[in-house]
Amino acid sequence: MELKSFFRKEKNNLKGKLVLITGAAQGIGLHTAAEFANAGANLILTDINAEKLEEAKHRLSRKGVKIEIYTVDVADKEAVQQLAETVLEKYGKLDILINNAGIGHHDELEDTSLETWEKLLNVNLWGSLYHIYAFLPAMKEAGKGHIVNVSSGQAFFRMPTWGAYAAIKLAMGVISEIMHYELKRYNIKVTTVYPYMVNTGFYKDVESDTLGGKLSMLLLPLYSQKPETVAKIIFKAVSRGKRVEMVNPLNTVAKYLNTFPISSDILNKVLTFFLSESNEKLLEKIPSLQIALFTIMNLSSKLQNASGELGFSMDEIMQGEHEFVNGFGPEGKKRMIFKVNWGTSQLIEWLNPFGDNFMVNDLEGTVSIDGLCQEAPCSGKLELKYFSEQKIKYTFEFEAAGEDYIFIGEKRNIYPWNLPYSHTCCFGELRLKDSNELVSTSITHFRLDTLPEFLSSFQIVR
Amino acid sequence: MEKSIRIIQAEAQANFLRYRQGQSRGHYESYFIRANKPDDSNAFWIRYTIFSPHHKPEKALGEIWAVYFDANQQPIAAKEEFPIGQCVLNSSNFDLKIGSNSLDNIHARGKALNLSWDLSYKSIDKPLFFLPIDFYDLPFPKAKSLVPQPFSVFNGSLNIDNQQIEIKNWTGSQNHNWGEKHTDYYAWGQVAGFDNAPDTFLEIITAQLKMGPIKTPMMTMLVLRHKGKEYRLNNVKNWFASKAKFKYFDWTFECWDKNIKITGRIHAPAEAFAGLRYHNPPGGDKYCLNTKIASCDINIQEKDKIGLRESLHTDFRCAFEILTDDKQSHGIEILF
Repeated sequence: MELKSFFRKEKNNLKGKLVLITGAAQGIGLHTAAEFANAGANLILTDINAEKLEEAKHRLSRKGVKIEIYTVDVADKEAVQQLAETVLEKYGKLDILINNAGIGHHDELEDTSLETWEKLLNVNLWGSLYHIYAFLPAMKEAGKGHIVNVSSGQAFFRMPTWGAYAAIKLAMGVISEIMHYELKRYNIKVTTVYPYMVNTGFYKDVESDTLGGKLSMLLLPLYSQKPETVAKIIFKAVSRGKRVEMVNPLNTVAKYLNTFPISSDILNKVLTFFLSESNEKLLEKIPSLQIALFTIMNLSSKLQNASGELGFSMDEIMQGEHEFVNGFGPEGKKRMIFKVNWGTSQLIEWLNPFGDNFMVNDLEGTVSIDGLCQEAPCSGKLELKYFSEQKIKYTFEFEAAGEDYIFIGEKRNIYPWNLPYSHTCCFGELRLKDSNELVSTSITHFRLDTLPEFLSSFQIVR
Repeated sequence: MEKSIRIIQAEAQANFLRYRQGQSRGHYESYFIRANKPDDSNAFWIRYTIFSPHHKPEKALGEIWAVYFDANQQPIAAKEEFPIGQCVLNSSNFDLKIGSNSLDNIHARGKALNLSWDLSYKSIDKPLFFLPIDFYDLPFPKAKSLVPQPFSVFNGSLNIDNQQIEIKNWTGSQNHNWGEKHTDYYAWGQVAGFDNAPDTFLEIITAQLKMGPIKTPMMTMLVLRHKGKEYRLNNVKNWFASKAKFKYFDWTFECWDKNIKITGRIHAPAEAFAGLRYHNPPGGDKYCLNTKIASCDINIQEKDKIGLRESLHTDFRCAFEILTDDKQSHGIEILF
């Protein structure tokens, strides 16, 4: 067996599978349900909020898959057992169980009441365990199954003021990761997912008196992930049968920082300094630090207030030659030029490296392809994938002679040492939008003598 | 090995016009096609040129040159000039129009005096960069040259004094050169297929540059595509290490590197040459003694094939040009 294929996880075909998702009325649960529905899986959705669950069903009903909803409090052992009996009686099996339901809590440990602990344990730990124990026998009997447990990145960060929540999520993570190995012999897969800082509105309600807390909440849009992004990651992890899905690279950083005593100590001291109320006094003693933090907060607050309104745009001209294939047009290399304006009106989302729209720009302009069209209006997007794939990708659509076309162009292998070449050379393919048939290939160029014009086209958009 | 983006981009832009309309710096830029009749002693050479004298952009013009070579007669040559306003110049794709004469990557159509042509062509080979790739972006040497479409096969027709010549599978090349001044003194040769090695492509130049009052030694560069390999004896070390000498109209050379040694001779009778006047952007003229039906013999010794020497030969398929300031002593009449 080749090493590459040994490590590569084969994608599971999820069409027709029965998937149960808890906490599915909104947030990550709802978006995960949508991903599975897109893949043709039949859904059983549960939530404590009957009204929102009904809305979710209505929203997903367009996907054309079977959807059943049950109002269930995951902390109610009897209710969960009843759910399992109903489902297993009706379908005789459950293919995938996704323990997503959870509640948050944010406070220092001394201020966290035992009642709160109990509530958190009931929902975030017992809730998942009730489901696992309720459905495990049927999965064992079927000789297959997949359990997904949604933990949290707080399990790695263990931040002050998040003590109770982090401890329970850590426990759930540990249980889930151990279960992965223990249930393997029954051909039951277990995937542990660690989302972190998901912009579901959960953090919106978090009030913090500390400067660090305020600051981290203000900057949340810059490093948080959207629930739909996390849902896609969860879906991908499940379809590939991954053991652990870290979701956010920050989790990996925190995990390894916590591995070594020195870095762990530094991390926790820094976090405690910023987040703990007890250090407010220390902060008061250092006026310059206080001023700096207030300035950052002020700026970030302004930036956040401007989000949704602030952006930028630039004009770019790419020109070169294209060649028709498969007899779609006259022989030989012909002129191709596209003049586009690209940018974003959502700067905060554009800057968020963990979001879907990180460095993704809207694009519109005109395209001229000799032998096909002249100055045809086009629109699409420009993705600056410098860090993930070392490329820039242009995708736009246009209409010519009654046909819809899609152009995908890439500037490839972009590294600092070859910028004058890689950043100016775009390899393109033009296809018929409906049939995906290749129409022409092209190489277009950004002329360096147009660089001043390009740079001076930069505009702030409000 | 995957080609670097730089090479791919250079290949994609091989035919792009370097001239920028209205530029003050002197500039010449030529696209020429040439081909030889299979198994015979006939050839054509057609050149589309933009010429812009230094500091006189308003005097820029387009030129069309055409010469038909036949070993049994004097070359037939024609030239016409067009104001730059009658030229359509695209700097981001290859589609050149000088007056009503056009040239793109698969067609050449035009007329100069009594010569007209309607040709289509296709290349089966990748562009050949005669200079080391870095030198195309540097100010030195001032004259750049490359072969965007080596081994082009031409079809169509030539018409000379209303007499049509069918062009059927004539083999040659499409070339591109430009610069702010012509090389001071050179002999240039090119073979697109030897008689006994039809897939071998040779390009060679021996040149002398003037830097103020000082003349450089003769420098020689050679690129050979042979049996699927490309031998590039064109780095600075090769320029000075290679031995070459030429006179009217005989040129011998010896070039080598650690992998290969190539010796050869290119020659043609004086009657095979057309004498042409090239305006030089800084001022003055150069004289190009030009034939496309020269003979060429080369011997190749590859180091990994010790003792095995290959001799390649062609009677009439070699392009041979000498560029000089000498207007008379060679005995060739300067036609234009």
